[in-house]
Amino acid sequence: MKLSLNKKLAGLAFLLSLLAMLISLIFPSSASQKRASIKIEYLSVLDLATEIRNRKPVRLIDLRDDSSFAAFHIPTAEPYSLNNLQNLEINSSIKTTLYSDEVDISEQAFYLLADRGMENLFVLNGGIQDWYDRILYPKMPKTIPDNYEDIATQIKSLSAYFGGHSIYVDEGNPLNYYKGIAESSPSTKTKRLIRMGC
Amino acid sequence: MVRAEVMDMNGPFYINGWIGEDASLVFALFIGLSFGFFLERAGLGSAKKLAAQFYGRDMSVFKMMFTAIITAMIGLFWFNQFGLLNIELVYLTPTFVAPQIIGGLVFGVGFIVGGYCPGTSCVAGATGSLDGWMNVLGLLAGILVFGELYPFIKTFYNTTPLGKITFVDYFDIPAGVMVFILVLVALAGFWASEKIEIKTNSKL
Repeated sequence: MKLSLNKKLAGLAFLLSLLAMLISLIFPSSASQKRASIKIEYLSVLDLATEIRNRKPVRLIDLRDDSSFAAFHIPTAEPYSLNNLQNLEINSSIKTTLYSDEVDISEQAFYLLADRGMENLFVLNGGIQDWYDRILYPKMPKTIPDNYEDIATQIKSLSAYFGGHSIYVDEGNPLNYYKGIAESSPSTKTKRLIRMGC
Repeated sequence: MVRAEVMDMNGPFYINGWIGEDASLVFALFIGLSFGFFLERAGLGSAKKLAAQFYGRDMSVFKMMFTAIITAMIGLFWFNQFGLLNIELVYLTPTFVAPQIIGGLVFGVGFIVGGYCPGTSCVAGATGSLDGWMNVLGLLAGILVFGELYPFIKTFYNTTPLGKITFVDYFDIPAGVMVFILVLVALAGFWASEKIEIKTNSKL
């Protein structure tokens, strides 16, 4: 019986997929699964701001383009693009945090560096946007609720330290954002940020 | 020492620095033109052929799409396995269950009413089809309307997020097993679609 080209290709697909299954089952610790076991660790903007202010040894990598970096960046950050990230010296002894305006890019950079064996590596949760909205120009309720006074003082102080100021709003309590970080810490490091904007 | 580790040329080329932004655009143009060419050669520049899919008369779209999915899937699995590609660096669209179900329904209604999906409408337009061009205009108008409505639908747009997730993550099974299951589903689908075609066309 002569098989048509379509049937031969279907047979090839079947064989390749069968082999794929066998390899996955026989060698569960293959390179691909090792990569899949890498879990991204996240750092909140609040923790980062506190560490910079307290002069803790942190290394910040800004993954945005040169013009965005020149216009504005987090103090102490160094500019790198995904393209030239391979030039970054691998140094796990210092805490390194990656940020961009797109979380995807920071996550890709994380995998790229983790794949090269770098440890003590974090992605800034919320990226540059959260830094701008939550540290530099944080929103505050006009009347601070009693149990939020400490966090409000801390945020105002951090905002002033980095040259920003608070913006007072009528509705809601934007300080819940920081409470959420504090209550879930340190699990925030493994929280996956889903998406920002459109 | 560190540089030596990354000297193996592997993918994704852009992220690993093997090609720059300009070259990546040339690649995108070449891949886009090739995609359009093969869509047209497969006959998918015809609204009649595309609409016949929904009536069970011609299942080419289903067969072509599923073939593309399993070919890419098998290729990605094996490239990753041999270290030629780092699958973790390949962009993955995040999943938002409810908005994507609604988006899929809107897309499906547009597909059956217009007779084209976005890619095939461009292919039909390129071959001089007026209804193809009308669909392209509709596509652009849809993008504009969506952009203008975005502030009002932003909340729903971001509901039910699952993150960047794959079947492998969701079901927690080895990647190769998922590849095998999907290939079996595709082959069964091809077999069934040919049966449907024969049955439907024999009634005409």
